[in-house]
Amino acid sequence: MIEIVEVTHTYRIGKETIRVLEIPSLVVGPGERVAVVGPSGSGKSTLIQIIAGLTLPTTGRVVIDGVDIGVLGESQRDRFRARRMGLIFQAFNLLGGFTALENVLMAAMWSGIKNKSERLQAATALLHRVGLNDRMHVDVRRLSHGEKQRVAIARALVHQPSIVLADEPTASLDPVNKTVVLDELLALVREKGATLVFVTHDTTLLSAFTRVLTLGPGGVVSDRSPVPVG
Amino acid sequence: MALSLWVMAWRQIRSRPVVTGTTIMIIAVSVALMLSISMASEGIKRGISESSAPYGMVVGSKGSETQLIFNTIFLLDRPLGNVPLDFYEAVKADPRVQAVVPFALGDNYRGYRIVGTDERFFAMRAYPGAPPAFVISQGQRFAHPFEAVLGAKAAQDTGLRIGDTFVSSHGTDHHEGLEIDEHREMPYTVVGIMRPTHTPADRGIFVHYESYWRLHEHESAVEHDATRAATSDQAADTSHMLSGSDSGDLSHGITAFLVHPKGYVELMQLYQEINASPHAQAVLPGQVLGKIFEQIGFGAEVLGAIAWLVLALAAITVCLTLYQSIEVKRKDFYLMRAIGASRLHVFFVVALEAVWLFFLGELFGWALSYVVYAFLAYGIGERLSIAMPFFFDAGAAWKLALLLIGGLVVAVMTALLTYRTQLDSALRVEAS
Repeated sequence: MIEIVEVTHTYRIGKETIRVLEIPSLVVGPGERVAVVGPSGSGKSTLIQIIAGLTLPTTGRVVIDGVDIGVLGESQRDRFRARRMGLIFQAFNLLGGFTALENVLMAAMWSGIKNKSERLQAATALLHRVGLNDRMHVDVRRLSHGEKQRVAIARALVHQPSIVLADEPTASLDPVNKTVVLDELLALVREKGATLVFVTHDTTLLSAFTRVLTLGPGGVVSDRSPVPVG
Repeated sequence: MALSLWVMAWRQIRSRPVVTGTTIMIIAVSVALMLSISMASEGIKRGISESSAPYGMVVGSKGSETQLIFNTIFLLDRPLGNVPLDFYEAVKADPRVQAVVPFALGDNYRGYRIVGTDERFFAMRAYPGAPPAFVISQGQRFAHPFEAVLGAKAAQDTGLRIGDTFVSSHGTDHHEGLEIDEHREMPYTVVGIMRPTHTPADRGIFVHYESYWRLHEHESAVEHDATRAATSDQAADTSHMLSGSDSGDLSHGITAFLVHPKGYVELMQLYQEINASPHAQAVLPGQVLGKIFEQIGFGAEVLGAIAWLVLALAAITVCLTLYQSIEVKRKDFYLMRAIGASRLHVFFVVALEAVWLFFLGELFGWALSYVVYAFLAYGIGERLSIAMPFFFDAGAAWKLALLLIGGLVVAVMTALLTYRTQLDSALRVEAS
């Protein structure tokens, strides 16, 4: 469960202070699949980073599964994130020079799965699951965009996180891959019972989510269940 | 699959081959420079020591002791004046002397020094009980004047074979086409070729010293006649100038001779007595070589200091390269943090990258130093016939270890810069 309480985030440019995010209260329950939409600069990516603990809010609290991550030290937050969350980015953000399998194994290793064979088994199984069984030993720089994002999904889910945070993961993909990747992600999230927070600009994808959060310059503009398409 | 931090660091540096290759090359060249300087210095010392091993005390006319050693042992430089024959005979007859080996120098054949000596030359040994230092491989030793035994290198370079004849030229340097210097009436016949010794003797042509006497008796007679016929003949002056020698009248003298006393006490007595006499000086090659080594050592120290400076610059370059790569890879490090790597993990990956770079740079540099040494040894062997032996430079081990520690310091400094990088600053680049 994600609880956000009176969170604001600002940054300074010269003497000017710019507020990029303001959320008085938001609760995302276990297993929910939330799409976050809004114009550029509305704070969507910042919201993801604050939930992940990659950056701390200027004010307010973020509580994940009962733990206020603002009170954790940086190392503790690193460990907490590694164990509880999976992150997927628009630009894939895989580590070049490493194979698909190694990218997934790295996340497994840092998430605290001690047993090597367990890590290998989990990584291999997920790469099979996303259809990369014959590409797992290829350097990620040689994979197609669709394949890279599937590696990113496997990496985000290898340690069975309770929360998956995805920052526009389908934005760089063609329509076919977009559908494939989203379907795979949703299927896996459902399968694992994880909570999904999915930032997107693409309104055609919203019907796949249980809840849509719209951000605007003043904060949350709307919070509703999507209207099914067609 | 072991995806250790070592492997991660290795993959990181492998993913930027140009920067990695250049950095490793800079370290390798600096290391090779540093190691090859000290190795060459040591190699030359060993080569010179081995070359001078068969020579005991060298006696020659008064003058530069270094010149005497260089001329007699290394067949370099110009001869000093002659030692009077009666002085040589007196030393030879001294009861404290076990053996003497005469040397007459001053002529050459195509630049290869002609060394007048006698059969005792072939009995010289590096140390008592050692095999003879100079051994015939083809033909035989000279038995009569105008029979010549060639050093291995001299034979190879001149192409002379057993039975061939050649005429010597006056002086220590070869002057192409100047027939006036040649002793055409009295040619030498090659009777033997020596086994390679990898010492300057390989470049020598050894003849009986009486050959010198006869040549120069003949020359004196001819010059006497010529001077009477035309005192203004310019060729005579040219001949004298080009001889480049202070050898003076060789008709009945010896340029230098080696003395093997019966014991240490006798050696010291003779050393003092000869040096006190007005006719000659006695030189112990070890002492002179010690002075030369000091000069070499000083030169090597200066070059070594420069090499360390170059190495320090290389370390700074590595530091900058790594720092720059951190800027480039900031996103990767952010990503590693985002998927669970701790600051410490990233710190170690960056530090190990530097360790890899230094380790490989040192390894290649160490190998390269032997390649440089081989080239130097070849060059010096070809030019001076001083064999620089291949050896394991134990001193290199601590230098490399010291350098690796320096590399670790660079690694830690660079990694600390990454460690101090806040995720927030990376996020400002990343967030949009």
